[in-house]
Amino acid sequence: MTNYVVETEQLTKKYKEQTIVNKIHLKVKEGDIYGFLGPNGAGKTTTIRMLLGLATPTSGNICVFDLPLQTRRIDISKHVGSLVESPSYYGHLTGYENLASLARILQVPQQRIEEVLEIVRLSEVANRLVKNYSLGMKQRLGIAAALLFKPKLLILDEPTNGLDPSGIQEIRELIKELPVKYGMTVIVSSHLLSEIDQMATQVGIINKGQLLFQDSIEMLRKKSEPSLKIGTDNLEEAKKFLQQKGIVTTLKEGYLWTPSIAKEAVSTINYELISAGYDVFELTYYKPSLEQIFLEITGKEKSL
Amino acid sequence: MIRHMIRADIMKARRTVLVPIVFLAPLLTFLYECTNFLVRIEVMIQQAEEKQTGLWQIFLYDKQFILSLTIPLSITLAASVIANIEHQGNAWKQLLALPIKRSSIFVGKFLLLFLAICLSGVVSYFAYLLFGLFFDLGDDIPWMQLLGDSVLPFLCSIPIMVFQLYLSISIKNQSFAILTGALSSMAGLFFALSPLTKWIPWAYPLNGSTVRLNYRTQHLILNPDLMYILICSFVIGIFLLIVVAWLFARKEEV
Repeated sequence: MTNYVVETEQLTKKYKEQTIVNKIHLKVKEGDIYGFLGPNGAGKTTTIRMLLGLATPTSGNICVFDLPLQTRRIDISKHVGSLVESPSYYGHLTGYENLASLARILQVPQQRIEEVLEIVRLSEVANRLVKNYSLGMKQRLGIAAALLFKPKLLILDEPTNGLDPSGIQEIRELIKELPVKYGMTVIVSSHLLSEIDQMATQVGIINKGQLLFQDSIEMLRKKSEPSLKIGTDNLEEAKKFLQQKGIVTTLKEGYLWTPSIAKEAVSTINYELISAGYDVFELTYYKPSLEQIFLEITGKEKSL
Repeated sequence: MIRHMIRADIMKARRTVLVPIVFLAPLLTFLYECTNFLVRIEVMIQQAEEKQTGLWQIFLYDKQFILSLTIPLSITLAASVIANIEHQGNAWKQLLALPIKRSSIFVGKFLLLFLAICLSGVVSYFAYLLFGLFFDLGDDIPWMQLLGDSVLPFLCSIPIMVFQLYLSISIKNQSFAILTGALSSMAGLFFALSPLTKWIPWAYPLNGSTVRLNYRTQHLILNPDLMYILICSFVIGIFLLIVVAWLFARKEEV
């Protein structure tokens, strides 16, 4: 069998005529922090709901821990902790009671409640009513609830939504610790690349229901390697000329581009072009940010 | 499994108005009969003479009319409170992702409602007794009838409990379930009066009393239908519970 913790095949969800999730193949390895990235409305939450059995796929399969979700949901969910969209909580209960009510269902010892409260740093406010908690505290309570029964897989849907920068920082640190300290696999969704960039090891990018990219974060970073942008007249001829000199360039957006960016290479290009009588009016380094790559992949650049 | 569910559900009901609702039906019955016996005691005495029976029986007969409204209303409110615990904090998705059977989540909530309503019946017993002693309805206290009249009308309402709980859970806006509960409890009064429609579950609370008026002789008699109504309530109620728990477990979107 495979060694994927989560694997989906042709996973599809349609609401009436609209396809929300279109034939996606997710692959999440053990110990990964899988960043599930996409703009709002891309189908992230729907996918996550399907992974948790909260929504039924229109077609396709989901395997978690090598078990089919459709028939073995209960066995699977014994090892899956989740936080979906807005936090779930009982406002009229204290933080401790919130977890205790879950602990009763799951047969978790009381001592574990204190442990998870400690992990998310809510011990001090454990006896306050949750309706008086701030959004960040509710969010952390949701994470505590997800950690309650020591899951092997933790699924967090936009866990930092609505948090202030220090809250975001805190949750990020917490998520990064989990695979190391407790051997968990984490799937975390977000619409912010910078956030995923700071914690994920694997990245899946989804847009309009389609999985556009799925690989390690390093592969995504490679796409942001710098290149040299050459502005000159007579582009076609200049391109051929440089080719003869052994410098490969591509023509894009009215400029020539080349990955050769060493100092000597730039000088050579400049020298050769000018000697041959071409006008050189621009020579710049160009390093796309991950955000730009993200926008490029999701094709949102035009709409923004 | 179900046992753990109920323990969790009882815990979640803390600080909600579920406890006051348990006292609602007994209290309203008590107050209604208080006005009755304070303002028009002579009418009650006259009725007892006409129907050739004692004041205890008149009290048991009379209180059923208010009880037949307060039972469905208590059920409606209690079901709404229980469902709202989960609705309010978006807790359904957390609950349904847990490693437990979905149907047992529903059955657990039903049992909490059932427990609360039965408790209401037990409280009613003491309310009747207190009332009888307070107004001195006579030394011939009909112990068994008191017990029957306090617990059985509540036990006759199992189908209503399942129905209201399902409404409250499946439609987030509680005004819908509450309106339906209020209207159907009033409709139940009319259902109870005809020999055919008295087998519709909403008629059971009114017909769940141990005493009943024989229209021909105008005498109060022991209710001959009570046993059948109880059986109907359990059979229909449990059947409905199975169907509805199945529907709840099958729901595609949570």
